[in-house]
Amino acid sequence: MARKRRILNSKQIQALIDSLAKRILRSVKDQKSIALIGIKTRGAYLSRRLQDKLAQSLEVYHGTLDITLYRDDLNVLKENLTVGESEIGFDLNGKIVVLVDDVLFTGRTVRAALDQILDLGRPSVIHLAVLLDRGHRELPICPTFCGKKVRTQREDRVEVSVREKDGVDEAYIIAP
Amino acid sequence: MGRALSLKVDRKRLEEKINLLARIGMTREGSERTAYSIKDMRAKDALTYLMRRSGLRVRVDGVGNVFGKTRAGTGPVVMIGSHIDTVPSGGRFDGVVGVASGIEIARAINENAVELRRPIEVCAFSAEESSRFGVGTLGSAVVAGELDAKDIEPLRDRLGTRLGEVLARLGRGRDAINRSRRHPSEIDAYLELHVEQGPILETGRKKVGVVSAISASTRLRVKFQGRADHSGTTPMNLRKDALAAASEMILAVEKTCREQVEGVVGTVGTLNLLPNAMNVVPGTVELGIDIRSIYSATKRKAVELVLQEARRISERRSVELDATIIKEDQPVTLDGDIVSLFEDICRSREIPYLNMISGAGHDAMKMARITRSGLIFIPSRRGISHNPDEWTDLGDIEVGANCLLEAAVRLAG
Repeated sequence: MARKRRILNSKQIQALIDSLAKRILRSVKDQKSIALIGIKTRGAYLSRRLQDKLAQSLEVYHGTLDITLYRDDLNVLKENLTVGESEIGFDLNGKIVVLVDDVLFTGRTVRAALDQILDLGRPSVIHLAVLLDRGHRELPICPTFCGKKVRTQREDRVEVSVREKDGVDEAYIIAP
Repeated sequence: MGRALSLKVDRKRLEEKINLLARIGMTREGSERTAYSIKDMRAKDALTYLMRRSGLRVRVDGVGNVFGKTRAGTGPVVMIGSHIDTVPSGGRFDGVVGVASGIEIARAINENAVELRRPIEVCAFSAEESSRFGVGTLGSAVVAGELDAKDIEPLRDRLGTRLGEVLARLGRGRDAINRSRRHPSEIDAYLELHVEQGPILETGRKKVGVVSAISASTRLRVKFQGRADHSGTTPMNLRKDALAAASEMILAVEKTCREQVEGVVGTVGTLNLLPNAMNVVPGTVELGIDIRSIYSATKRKAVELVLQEARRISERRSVELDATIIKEDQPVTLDGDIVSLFEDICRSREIPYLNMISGAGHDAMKMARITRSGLIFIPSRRGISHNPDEWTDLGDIEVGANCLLEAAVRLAG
C-alpha cells in the first residue's frame, strides 16, 4: 500500500514562492529585466506566480517549455510528441533566464530544458529555481534558488499540486 | 507603396533565423531533419519560437504544417511558405531560406507597422522531401486538397512505420488530417523563395530567377526479362541478355530527350540487375526512368517514344518487356500576374534576373492548385544541393527576401 505524506500545505507553498521571488529579485537587482521560463506543466504555473510577484519590481518576460522532444528516454515509437507547445515569445539572446520547475530530482528534465533553450538562443545566464529539491541527482545539476530540500527514498514519488490545475496547493511524498 | 519600397528585411536577423533552423540536426555529414523525425520536430518547435518572437500567431495543423499569421488585416491571407525538412545529409539552405525569409518579412511588416489589408501567413510545410515516405510536397498537397488522410496514412517508411501512426503520435487523427485542407477562399496568394538547386543563375550571373512553370515527372518502371545463362558456355547468338537490352534502352532515353523531343529531360536513375553475377548472362533488368517537362503534351510524347523504343528493343532481342507508369504528375504554370510583379520588382531594383522553369518540385506547385502562386529562385553555389556543401551567399538571400517582401506588401496592401 502506498503511503502518502503531506509535506507542504497551501500556506507553506505560498511562503516558499514568496521567498524564491525575494531571492531571485535580490540576485538580479542590478538588472532591468529577467526571463522566467516554466517547465510544463507544474513549473509553468509556479513561474506565472513568480512573474506576478517580480513584475512589480522589474520587467519580466515569461515563457513555458515543453521538453518532450528533448527527453533522453523518449521512445519515439510509442509516445505522443508535441510541436508548438513550448511558448516563448521573446528573444532569448542575452537574457537572464530563470528556469522554474516544481521538483528537482535526477536533473534529467533540467538537462533537457537546457538543451532546448540553447537550441533557441544564447541567454547570458541561466539560473534554476525549484520549489522542492528531493535529491538523488544523476547529473551534475544544482539549483540556484531552492524553496525547500526534502529527504526522500529513491523509489518515493514527490507530487506537487497547484490550485490552477489541481484546485489546491499541496505537496506530498508517496512511498511505494 | 513608396513606403513598401524602402522597407527591408534585417540581414542580421535573417541570418540568425537561418542559422538557428539549420543548426538543429546538423552533423558533419550535413543537415539531418528527415520528415517527422525528432530533429525535424525540434526544428518545428524552434520555428514556433521564431514565429512567436516575431509577433505571429502560431498554429500547427493535422499533418504538422506550422503556420504563423500576422495579427493585422482581415480576409484571405497572403501566404509565404516553404519547408524545413531535409533529405538525409542535406544542406543548410534548401527550404530553410524560404521559411526564415517569410518570418523575417512578417517581422519587418509588424515592426514597421505597415498597414496591409490582408494578413500575412508564414508556413513551413511538412515532408516536402520524399526521402522518408516516398511522396514529396506532402504537407502542401494535403493543404491543397490533393491528398487526404486515406491517401497518406498507409504510407510507410523504410522501417515499416506507417505515416498514420506517426501523425497519431503527434496527436493528429484522421479528422485533424482532413481538416488541414484549406479552402481556396482562405488564401489570396502564395509566394515562395527557394534556392535554385541548379547552376543556371550562377552561370548567367543573375541574382533572381523568376519561375514561370514547374515541370513534373512521369516515372516509368521498365523490366526486360531475358534468360540467365552460363557466361562461358552460352554462344553469343543464343543469348537473351537483359542488360544489353537495357543498355540500348538507356541510350534511347537519352536520344529521345536530346534529339527527338524538345523541352524535356529524361534520366535512367535506377538499374536493378539479376542475378548480378560475373559469370551469368543478366536474366532480368529493371530500369527506373524519370521524364520531366513543363508541358504535358511534350512529356506524353517523350514517354510514348520511349515506350515504343522499349517495344522495338524487346522484339529485336527477343526479351520480354514489362513497362509500367508508376507516377504521372502534371506540370504547373505559375500565375502570370505574379511573374510580372516579380519582374517589375527586379527591374525597379536593378536586380539582374532571369525567367526560369523549375526542374524540381516545390510546395508552390501544390499551392498553385488552389491559389495564384509565385516562386523565385536565388543562386546555389556551383548548383550543388541535397548535399552538405550546398551554399547560398547571405547577400543573395537578402536580395531574394527583399523581392519577396515587396511582392507580399503589394499583394496584401
